[in-house]
Amino acid sequence: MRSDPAHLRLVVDQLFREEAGKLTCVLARILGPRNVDMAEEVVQETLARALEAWTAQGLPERPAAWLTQAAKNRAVDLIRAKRRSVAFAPDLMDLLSSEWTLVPTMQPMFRQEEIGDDVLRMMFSCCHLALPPEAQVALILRLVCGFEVREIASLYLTSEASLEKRLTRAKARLRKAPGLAELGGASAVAGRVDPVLAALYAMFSEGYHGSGPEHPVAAVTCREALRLCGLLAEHPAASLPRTRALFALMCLNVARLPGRTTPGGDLLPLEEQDRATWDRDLIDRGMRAMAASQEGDALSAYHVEAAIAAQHCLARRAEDTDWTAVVELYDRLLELHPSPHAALARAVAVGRARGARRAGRAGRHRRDLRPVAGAHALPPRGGRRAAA
Amino acid sequence: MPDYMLLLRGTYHVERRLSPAEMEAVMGRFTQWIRELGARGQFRGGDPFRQEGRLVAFGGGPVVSDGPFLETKDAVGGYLIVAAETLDAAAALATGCPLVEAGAGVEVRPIQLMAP
Repeated sequence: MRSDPAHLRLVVDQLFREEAGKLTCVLARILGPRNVDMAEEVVQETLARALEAWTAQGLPERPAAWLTQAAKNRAVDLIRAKRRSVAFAPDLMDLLSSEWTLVPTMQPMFRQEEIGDDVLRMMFSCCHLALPPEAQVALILRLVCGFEVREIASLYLTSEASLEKRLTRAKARLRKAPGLAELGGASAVAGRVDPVLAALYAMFSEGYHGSGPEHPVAAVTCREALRLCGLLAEHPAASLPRTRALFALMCLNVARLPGRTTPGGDLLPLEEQDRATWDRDLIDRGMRAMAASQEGDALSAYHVEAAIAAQHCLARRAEDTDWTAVVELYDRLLELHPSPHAALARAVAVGRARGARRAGRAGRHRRDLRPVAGAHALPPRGGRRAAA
Repeated sequence: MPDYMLLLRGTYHVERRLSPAEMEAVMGRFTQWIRELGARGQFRGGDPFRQEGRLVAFGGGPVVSDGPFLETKDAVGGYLIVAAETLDAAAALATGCPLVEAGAGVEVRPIQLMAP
């Protein structure tokens, strides 16, 4: 049973994607950004070796730990072979060159908390390269999320060859970075988090609004953006109110993904979506994150978009949606961050609100879900926020 | 700062005297001591030696024999290269080495810069 190829493939695809990303980040930290290709090679070789071994011997008890150990051993061999000719991460070079300190240095770097920090470091580094947002997102999908080139290409509806070119250019920039950005102290992180949020928002939008029928890659993209945003929201310095708002927005949208399309992949209008398919746990998480985002004075577009998603989540049926509130929220959004998409959505909401008024449903707000205090309400226009 | 070699002597002897747990603790402190040297920019490299060797000498022709005898308190178990201002400074630095505390000895030699 354990070595049944179909079962193996299923487990392996998901695991490989997530672990490939993490391992690439920690190896890039150790080998240095100049050697990001070497880091990717070690990971690819590790995965190939794993597939071979697991096909022959079945899945190990702890596959992720197996992969981590194998990658670490491979990296040690590589460092031993190349340390006289290749410069690794400058702050680690001396320690890696001595057998007294090579293994004692490598060992703790593969602990989960360290790996988590390296994932964040890679995200910050990618987002601070002078690159257009799609290039940053493609780089993150490749290096941090472990997506294959063809998967990223299909997401952007572009050819593998041109995606490959875009990645090569992006990696060339990354290679010149002085070091995988030291996360730095709380204020340093807080000061540099906006490009990361923007990239995650772009990644999420790419998956969510993908043209054409929804396909697996797009849904995975949304979930990856959600996962990475969750990492930021858990990091003490990166967890700003707007980080939590973005996380809330993603939770509240990903929760509703299952109902969004027909089995054939066509988008369903709101009224036809089966709300029983919504992920209630994820909605709860999103509402809690929204409550946690209501700190301080700064209102971001993420806050407003999260509030809009919350309005939809709070309605038990489409016709219970408080369209008047939604219109007001779109007004706020257009003030903060005008876009054709938001303008269109507002126009639709205006029409729905009008329809609701005519049908005598104006202003009624159904609270069928346990609303988190203030989750759907924003401060009055122009007024100072009160802490929730 | 010039470079100095630290030859670590009698480390196998130390290892035989200590329990595995004690040795692990000493090596942990030793590794940390090297990291601190590194943080101050004074660590230039070094490696441990495996406990075996050969002696090559000339006696009518090149002769290879087993040796040296590694059980002694002078047997070299590894080396470090450190940067220091003077020989005395390098020696003072070596007094802080956790292996010395555990009973090893260190021979401190300045690296000779050969005249051009």
